[in-house]
Amino acid sequence: MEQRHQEYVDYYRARLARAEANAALYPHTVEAERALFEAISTAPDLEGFRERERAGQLSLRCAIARIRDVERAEADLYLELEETVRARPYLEVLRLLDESPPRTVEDLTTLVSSTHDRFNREITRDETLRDDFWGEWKVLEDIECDEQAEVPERWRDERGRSVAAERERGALHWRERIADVRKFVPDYEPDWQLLWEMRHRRRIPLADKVVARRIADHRRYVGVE
Amino acid sequence: MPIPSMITTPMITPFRNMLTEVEQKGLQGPDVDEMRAQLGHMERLAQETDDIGAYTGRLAQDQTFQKFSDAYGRALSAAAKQSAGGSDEEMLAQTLAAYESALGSYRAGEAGDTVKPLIPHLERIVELGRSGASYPVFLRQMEQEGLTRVLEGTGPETRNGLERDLGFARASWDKHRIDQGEQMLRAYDALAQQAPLGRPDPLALTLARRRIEWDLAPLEARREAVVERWQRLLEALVDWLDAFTAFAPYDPRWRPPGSSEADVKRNIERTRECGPGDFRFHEALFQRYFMLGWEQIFTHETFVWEYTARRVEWSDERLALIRATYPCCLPGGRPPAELVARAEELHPDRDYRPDKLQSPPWGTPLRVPQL
Repeated sequence: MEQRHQEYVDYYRARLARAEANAALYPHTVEAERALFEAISTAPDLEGFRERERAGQLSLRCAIARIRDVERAEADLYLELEETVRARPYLEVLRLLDESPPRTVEDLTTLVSSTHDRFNREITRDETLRDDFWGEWKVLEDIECDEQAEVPERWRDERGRSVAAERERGALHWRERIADVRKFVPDYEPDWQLLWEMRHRRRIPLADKVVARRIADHRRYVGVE
Repeated sequence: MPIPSMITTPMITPFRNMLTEVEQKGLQGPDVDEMRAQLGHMERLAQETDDIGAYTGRLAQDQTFQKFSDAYGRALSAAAKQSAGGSDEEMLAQTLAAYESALGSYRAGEAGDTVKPLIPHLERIVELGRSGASYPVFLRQMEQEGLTRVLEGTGPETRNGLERDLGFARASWDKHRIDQGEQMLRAYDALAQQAPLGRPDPLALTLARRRIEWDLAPLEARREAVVERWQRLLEALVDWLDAFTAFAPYDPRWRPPGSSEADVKRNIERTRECGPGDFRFHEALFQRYFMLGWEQIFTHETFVWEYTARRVEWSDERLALIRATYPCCLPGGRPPAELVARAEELHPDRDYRPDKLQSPPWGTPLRVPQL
C-alpha cells in the first residue's frame, strides 16, 4: 500500500474510533464510518477508493447517518419527556430521510434546517396559550378578589365596574394577541383542552381543580365564553 | 403605505450584502437565482405591507430567510468545491487558509470575546497544517488530538463557559440558573470522565442540557409563583397600614399624578376599608394553592433565599412591623395607633434595607430574619 493511501486509512480509522467511542448514541454513524473505512482499507489504491466512495456515496451516507443519529436521539429524548410537539421536527426529518434521501450534503442541510424552521410554528401554536394563560393568571386572581373579597358595601359598585373594565381590556388584548400570533401561524386557534397535556400541565404548579377553575375564568376573561 | 425603510432596511441589508458578495464572485446558477427571488420577495412585501408584524409574520410563513440562506450556502459550497480542485495539497491549503482567516479575526477581536479561548486550538491546528504533514495526516491529527471536538464546542472552554455562567448566576443569586449551572457542570464532568480525551460528545451534552432544563422548569414555575404571592401579601399589609399615616395624602400610592384632593381622600379610604378583605382573600388563595400559612412564609426556603439575596427590600424593622400588622388587618378593622406611629417613624428612610437589591457575595450563609 502506498504511503498516502495508508495515511488515509489511518485517518478513516481515527474517524471510526471516534464514532465507536459513542456507539450507543451514533449507531448509524458507526455503520457508515465502518463502510467508509472498509472501502479504503480494502481498496487496491486511492483511485479505487474514490470510485467506491463515489459509487456508494459513502461520504454522503456518513453525513446522513450522523444527522439520523442526532435527530433520533433528540426525538427519543423529547418523546421520553412527553414533549410530543417538540419531538415532531426531529421525527419529520427522520421520515423525510427515509422517504427521499438527499442526494447531496447541501440538500441534507436544507432538509434539516427547513424542516425545523417549518415546525417552529407548530411549537408556537402549541406553547402560546400556555404562556398567555399562566402569564394572565394573577389578573384572574385579582378579578376574583374584586368580586369576592369581603369589603364594605359602598365599594361593591366601583369594584364591579373595575372588573367589567378589566374584562373588556382582556377581550381586546386577546383579539390583538390572536391576530399577532396568526401573522406567524395563520390558522392558530387556542385550545384550552391542550393545557391538560402533561407537557403543559407540569409547568402550572397548582392542583387540577384550581387549574380547571382558572381555565374557565380565563376563557371568560378573554371573551370566548 | 409601505413600512418605513428605517425599519426594513436593517432587516434586508444583510441579505442584499450576501447577494452582492455572490455576484461579485461571479457566481451564477439556480441557487443565485433563488437568492434573487427571495430577496425580491422581501423587498416587494416591504412595499406592499404596512405593518411590521404582518411583514415579519409573512416572511416567516413563507420561510423566506430560510430559503435565501439555504441557497446562499449552496452557492458558496458549490463555488468552494470548484475552486478546491481536488488535490490533497489544494485541499490542505484551502482548509488552512480558512483556519488562518478565522484565527486572524479571533485575534483581532472581530468575533467577540467568547471565541478567544479557541485561539490556542486554532494556533495548534495551523501549526499542524504548516508542519509539512500531508492532508490526511493533518486530518487524523485533528481527530486524535480532539481538535474537531473543541471546535464543536465541547472542549475545556465549554466547561469554562459553564463555570462562568454559574459564576454570573451566583453573583446575582439567581436560584434557577444556579441549579441549572450546577447540574450542567456535574453532567459535563460525568460525560467527560467517560469520553476520549475528556471531551464530552456535543450531542450528549445537548441532551443533558435539555433534560436538566425540563426537570427544573416546574420547580422554577412553583418557586416564582410562591415568591410573587408572598411579596403581594407583604405589600398589601404595608399599604394598608401606611394608608392610616399622616404621610399617606402625600404619597404617590394614593396621589397619582393629576388627582384631585377628593380622589386622594377616596383612594386612601379604599385602601383602609378594602385592604383587609383583599389581603385575607389573597392569603386564603396562598394557603389553598401552596398549603402555606402566614407564619410559614418567613422561614420558607423561598423567603430565606430572597431575604439573603437582599431582594426582600423591606428593612428588618419594617418586616417586624408587617408581622405586627397582620393580626389587625381584618375586615372592618383599624390598626392600633402604636403601629401607625411606628410606620411614620420608619418612613421613608428606614422602610427599606439600605443594601436592597445589592446581591451579597456568593457563599454568604442563608439567613432567617430575626423579627
